[in-house]
This record gives sequence, C-alpha cells and structure tokens, in this order.
Amino acid sequence: MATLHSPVVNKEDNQKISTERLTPQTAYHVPLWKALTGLIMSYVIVGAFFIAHGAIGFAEKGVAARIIFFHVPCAVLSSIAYFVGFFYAARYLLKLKSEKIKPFLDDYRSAAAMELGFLFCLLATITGSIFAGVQWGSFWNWDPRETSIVVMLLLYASYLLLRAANSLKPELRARLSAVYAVVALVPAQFLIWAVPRILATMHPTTTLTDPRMTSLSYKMVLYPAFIAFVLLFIWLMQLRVRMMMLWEQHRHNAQQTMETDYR
Amino acid sequence: MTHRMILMLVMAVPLVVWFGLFFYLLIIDRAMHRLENNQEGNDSI
Amino acid sequence: MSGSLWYQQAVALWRKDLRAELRTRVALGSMGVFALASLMLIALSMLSLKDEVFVDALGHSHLAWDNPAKMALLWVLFCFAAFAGLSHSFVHEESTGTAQNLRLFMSAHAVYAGKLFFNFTVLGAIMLVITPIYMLLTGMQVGGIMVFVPIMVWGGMSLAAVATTVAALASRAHTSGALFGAIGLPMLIVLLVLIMQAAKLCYSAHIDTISIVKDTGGLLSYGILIITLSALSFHFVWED
Repeated sequence: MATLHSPVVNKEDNQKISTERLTPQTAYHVPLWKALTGLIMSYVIVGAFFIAHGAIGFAEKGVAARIIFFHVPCAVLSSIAYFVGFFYAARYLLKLKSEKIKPFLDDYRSAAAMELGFLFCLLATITGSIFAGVQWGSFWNWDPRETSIVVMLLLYASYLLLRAANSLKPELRARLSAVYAVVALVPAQFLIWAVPRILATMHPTTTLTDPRMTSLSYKMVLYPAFIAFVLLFIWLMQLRVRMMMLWEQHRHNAQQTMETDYR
Repeated sequence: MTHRMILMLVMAVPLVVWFGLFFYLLIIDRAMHRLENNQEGNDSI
Repeated sequence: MSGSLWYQQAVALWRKDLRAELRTRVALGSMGVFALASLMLIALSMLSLKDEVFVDALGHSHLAWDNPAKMALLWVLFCFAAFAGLSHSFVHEESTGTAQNLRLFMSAHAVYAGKLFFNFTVLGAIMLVITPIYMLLTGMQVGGIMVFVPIMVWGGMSLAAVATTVAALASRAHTSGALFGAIGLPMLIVLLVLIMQAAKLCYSAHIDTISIVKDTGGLLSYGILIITLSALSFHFVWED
C-alpha cells in the first residue's frame, strides 16, 4: 500500500531539487499559441458585450442572447470531446492488437478528452439552463437537447466511474475504459445526432449550419469564440496528459526506490 | 446607471474569471515544465 | 472443442449455460421475482392515474395513463429486471473458476455470442411471461401486432446486448455490483427513448412511411451497432 502514497512525498522532493538546479536551457517561455488563447478569449469576452448587438427576438431586449458565445462552443466541444476520446481509445486498442505494446499515452489522451468532455458538458448544461430560464421562462423544459446533454453527462460520468473502479490496475483500466469508450460511441452518436432530430426541439437548428441566419456582428464574435474554446480545450488536454505522465513516472520511481530499499 | 455601464460591469465578471484561469494555467504549465525537465535529468543520471 | 467453428462453440456454451440455469434457476428466479414485484408496484401506484385526463394545446383530451406510457413503464421494468438477473453471467464464470477453461478452449467471439444468446433466451422467457400479465393488469393494448412483436423482440435483443457488454466490463472490476447499474443505465436511456419512439407506431391510427423507417430504423441500427462494436472489442475485455 505504501506505493500509493509515496508519489506525493516524491513530488515535494522533486520540486526541491528542481529549484536547486535550474539550468538556463530549461527556462520556461510562454508558447505563442497559449498567449494567443488568452488574447482571443479576452477578445471574445469583450466582443460578446460590445461588438455583438442585442439579438432580435430574444429576452431582455436581446441582451440575454449574449450567453450563446459561451454556451454554443461549450455544447459543441462536449460532443467533439467524445470523438477525440473515442479516437484515442480506438487507437489504443488497435496498437495493443498489432504491436503487442502498451501504448499508455493514448489511454491518457482518451481519458483526458473524456474528463474535459464531462467538464464542457457540465458548463454547457449550466449556461444552457440559465439561458432557458431567461428565454423560455423555466430553467428546465425537457427539450430534447436538454435531455440528450444530461444523458451525455451521465455517459461521461460512467466512463470516469469505470476508470475510478479499476484505478489499482492501470493496464486493465486502460483496456476496459477503451472498450467502454468504443461501445458507448453508439449511444453518444444517437444523443448528438438522432435524439434532437427525432423529437421536437425548441432550439434553433440553423445558427451554425446556415450562415445567412446569423448577423455579421455575431459571426465576428462567435467564430473567434470557437477558436478560443478549441485552443483552450487543447491546452487543458495537454496539461492533463502531462500531469498523468508525471504521475505515472513518480509512481514508477517510487516503486523502484522501494524495491531497492527492500534489497 | 446607463445600459453601457451595466454591460461593462457584467463583462468584468467573466473577464476577471478568465484572467484568473489563464494565469493559473500558465503557472501549472510552468511548474510542469520544470518537473518534466527534472525528470529527464534524473533519467540521465 | 477448440477445433470447431466459432458458432458451434457458441451453441455449446449456450447449451451449457442453459443446462446450468435450468438446474439452479438463479437468474430466471431472481429476474422473475423482481419483475413480478415491480409489476405489482407499477400497477398499484398507477391505479389513481387510470381515469386521469389531460387536455393538450389543441383542445383534444387524452388519457394520461395511455398505451405509450404503459409501454414505457413496461420497458423500464424490463431494463431493471435485466440488470438484476444478467449481471452475474460473467462474475459467475470467474467465481466458479470456469473462466480460465473458456479462455483456453474458446475464441472470444464464441464466448460473446454464447453469452449474448443465453442472456437473450433468459430475458425472452421473462418477457413472454411478464408481458401478458402486465397487459392483463394495466389494460395495455397490443395495437398493430406487426409492429409490436418486432419491437419487443428486437428491443429485448438490444437490451440483452447492452447487458452482456456491461456485465463483461463490470465483472473485471472489484465492485462489480454497484458498477453494473451505473455504467449500464446511461446507455439504456438512449435505447428506451428509441423504443418509446418506435412504440408510438403501434398506437397511432395513420402513420406515414417516413416515420416508420426513421423510428424502426433507429431502434434496429442501435442494436446492430452495439452488437457489432461489442463483438469487435470483447476480446480486450475477456482476455488477460
């Protein structure tokens, strides 16, 4: 059981060492695209209030519609995240089959995408519920898209639950969660594409598919908002994967130290 | 208060939250950068 | 046995499981009791709704406790019954130690197919008994028999497919019992929505062709896709 707790101790040790011998070549520079993420997102926040005009036909003289610059990218990312998670899960299984190696990196990427999917799904649900409360007069209407995003949230949650239940065996956890990600693609697809179309919805369906329906001042903010949120997604995912790799490395180191101690 | 000022105040909330998040992420990025470099140093020794 | 084709192996596994089941009747018994008990609960709790009428936006009045609503609760019942009875199909093999033998002598595909058809058989037996009793107690009508029977059969098949896959996934974890419901039910909500949508076809007077294709097609493709993806990836769950 000692191996479970040792990485924490190890981490502190490592930080102590790292401050001691920080050579110039390891100095940290802010990557350009990360700075750009900060800039574009700031532009979107300012633009949502001062570039876009109040939308016609929305509550509070159109002011309420400004939330769509945050709600729509979150909702789109919450379904894109599943594709990313599925892609890496499938790649993990294919590599496992053909090369007989353990491609943990793909497992981490898949898990990170799923975690972020859960996060963005939650954000989309919250912003959507606020918007619905102002626009439709009730915070929850059982609109098909509302239903499907909640079930999507449950799907993500059960993926994370499956991972948590097998956390003591990383190899088994990787395989099982990859299989779940592959099989649950079917309900996820139905939730993203079919359910909002089979049942009658109150959501406008042409905002993204038909550019003529959206005014120029909205496009000028909405499209950068997508770029900003996608960049943020990539950044968060990269951080999460790196964190998992560091964690694994520490676990490995700690195990080795313990083995040498016993000898 | 004019409509514009109210908009300004409401805008300040997400802007402050975003700046906080942005610099928090940068700090994590930097800390992880250090740890990663340190790890590579450990391996070579 | 290892020399034979995969479907022969699957049939052999199905026959073995069926014989074992008929000896102990654990799965059938637990599912049957569970289903009957919840059937009574549903029928009793919906007693007050029987004559409730609501008026829609167009001014037509409908029965609140109508046929589609009855069908929905019937399927909720089947889902929980399936989860009560079918969760043990793989845990059982692990605990009796026969899992290793199966891994040695059978291909993963054969195991998946055998388990899937066994689960479908058990679920089908339960459905055959429960559905008439439910219809008797709640007064649910069959509607169009040409739609009703395929929906019941294919809905049962899809339900068995989800339950089999989730049982396999959960059997490898320590806390399989709690995990089984938690990871299975989100997948079943989508299936229930599709079954509900298809079930409306039984009870509406005039149906256009496009909605038949859309609604039955959704249910059909859900089952097919789940079975295909599970069969493709089962090997990774099953083998060590």
